[in-house]
Amino acid sequence: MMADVGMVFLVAWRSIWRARTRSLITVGAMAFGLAFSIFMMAFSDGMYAKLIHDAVSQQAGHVVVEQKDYENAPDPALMVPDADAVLRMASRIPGFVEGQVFILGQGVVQSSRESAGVGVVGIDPVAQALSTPARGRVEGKYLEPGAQEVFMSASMARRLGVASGKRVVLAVNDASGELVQMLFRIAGTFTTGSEEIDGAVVYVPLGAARSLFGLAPHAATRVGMILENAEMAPAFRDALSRETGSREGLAVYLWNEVLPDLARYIRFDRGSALVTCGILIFIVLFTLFNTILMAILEREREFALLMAIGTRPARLMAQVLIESASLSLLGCLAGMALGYGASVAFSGSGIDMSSLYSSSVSVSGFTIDMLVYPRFRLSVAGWMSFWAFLFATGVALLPTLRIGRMSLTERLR
Amino acid sequence: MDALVLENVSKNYVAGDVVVPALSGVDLIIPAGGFVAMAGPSGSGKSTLLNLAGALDVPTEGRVLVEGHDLSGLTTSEQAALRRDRIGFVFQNYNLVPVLTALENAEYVLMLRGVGQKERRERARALLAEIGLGGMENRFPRQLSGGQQQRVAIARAILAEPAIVLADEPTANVDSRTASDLLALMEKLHADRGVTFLFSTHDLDVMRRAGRLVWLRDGRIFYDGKPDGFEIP
Repeated sequence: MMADVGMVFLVAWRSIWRARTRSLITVGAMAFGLAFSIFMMAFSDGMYAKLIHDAVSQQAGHVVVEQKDYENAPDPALMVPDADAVLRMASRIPGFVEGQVFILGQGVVQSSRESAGVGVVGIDPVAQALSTPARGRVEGKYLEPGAQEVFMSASMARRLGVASGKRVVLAVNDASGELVQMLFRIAGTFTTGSEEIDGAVVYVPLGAARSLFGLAPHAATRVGMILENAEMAPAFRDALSRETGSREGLAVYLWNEVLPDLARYIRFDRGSALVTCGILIFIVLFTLFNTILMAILEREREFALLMAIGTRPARLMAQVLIESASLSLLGCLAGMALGYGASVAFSGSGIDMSSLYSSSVSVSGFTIDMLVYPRFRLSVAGWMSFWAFLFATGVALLPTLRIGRMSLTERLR
Repeated sequence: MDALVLENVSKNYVAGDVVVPALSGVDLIIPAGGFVAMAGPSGSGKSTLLNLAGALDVPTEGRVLVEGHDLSGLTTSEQAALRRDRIGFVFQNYNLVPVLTALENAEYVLMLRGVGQKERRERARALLAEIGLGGMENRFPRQLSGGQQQRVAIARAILAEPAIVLADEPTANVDSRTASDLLALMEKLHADRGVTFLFSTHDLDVMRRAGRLVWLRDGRIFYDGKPDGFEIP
């Protein structure tokens, strides 16, 4: 029986190379289609990873601790009373890299000439020294811890008719619901290219934010945990939830729950990329379909002869399916290798997309870095290859059905 | 036991509304060990008769029996098994599998019958040597002449020791000398191994060398007897 199977494989393998050029073209089409798809997903994953990293670094974390109702009704009164205690718990869980504390609220910034509604974000200037606004400084300096300073966009400064070194007033409702005002000096201005940030957010150091909102020294509205990678977030969230329990009404969220617009964008964009890859692979499958169909049409007489001497049609169909599967496998392996090679080749230097866009592109207030570092993930490439292989082999089923319907006397005439 | 029996066999082909009779009421018995040539003008029904005898087609009327087994009630799968086990085929165009070597082509039917690789290799190698193809076992069909390819086809047909070998104009595509050699080979296998042959031919020399000649005309047997007792019309 084993020898029997061996003969099927032998005939299948040799038959592939009977039409060498056609087989190579088929394998090549499959390889390039898959390689392009893998590279495209690696490119997208690289872009998402950077976008998620920037977003969670600036305003959240891969995992976030807040009061349970804060997301529904943001209010400084709904605070995490002891952010440091939360960070101590988080630091004991594998995957933790660093923690960050935010105080988020709404208010009005006023100059002597104008006023504007803004989101006030209290940050640790040291931890956020490499954030997009910090890197986008236009003039003046960045925030200093403990200073009574505000860091605002250049466009907002122009609207208010102020510049770095000048003073503005921030008016907010504090944790007790009282309207309070405080005077801040403008440390510097920035531009991120995102109107959602530049036109609506100002940054102040944590200490000043606590004073402004009337919060205790260790209190915060959001505590974020940066992890080694985003994939660790669900397990980390579960572990941290077990640690915090329902202590003080706290809840532990994933980054995509506190940044839903960004998560939606990534889902949509990834879906679009998958559809594009799917269309490409679908086209490639037609090449394979054509190859197998031609291979059968050309060999109908040979198949008829083999059936005449007693070969069962199922055996010949299996032989053709093995040919198809072998071509697909070769194409998938070559495609994975090419996709991996291309991804790795650009993973160090990145691909600069800035020449394709006249201005920066932002998503939900977070600017997409135009220097994209492709991120090859074996699991993604493996799944894509697996499905491509499965579909390619399945596509060959259709032409193989011809074998079973063949008229022996007509083909042998 | 008779190797092949056709009882009142008719075969009609339908082309649109037209019914074309290919064979009409044919009775034929090929005893085991027979060496029978079948001839006749084109369209006389030679290929149809071979197709019916080889379980490649089914008669419109009548019965075909191979070693006493009636083919009419067999399923497709049973027909395939019968062809594999009891019938050998030799075709005009050799019809070897181009990606298999001479040895692999010869042993193919034994492989289908589940004979182990070692045994079938030995038997195939020995038979190829016997029919003058020693040393050519590993050549592919494209590396063999037409006569050599047909020898491999004959080896494939007889290696599984079938009840009958059906050969459709086996010498038609080779020159007269090669045709004579092939016929000599078939005669030798018939004499030495008792292989039963039923072959169609247009070649007068081949007809004369057969032990028995069946002449078909318009789908009927016109003559059945010794070749030397028949004047070709």
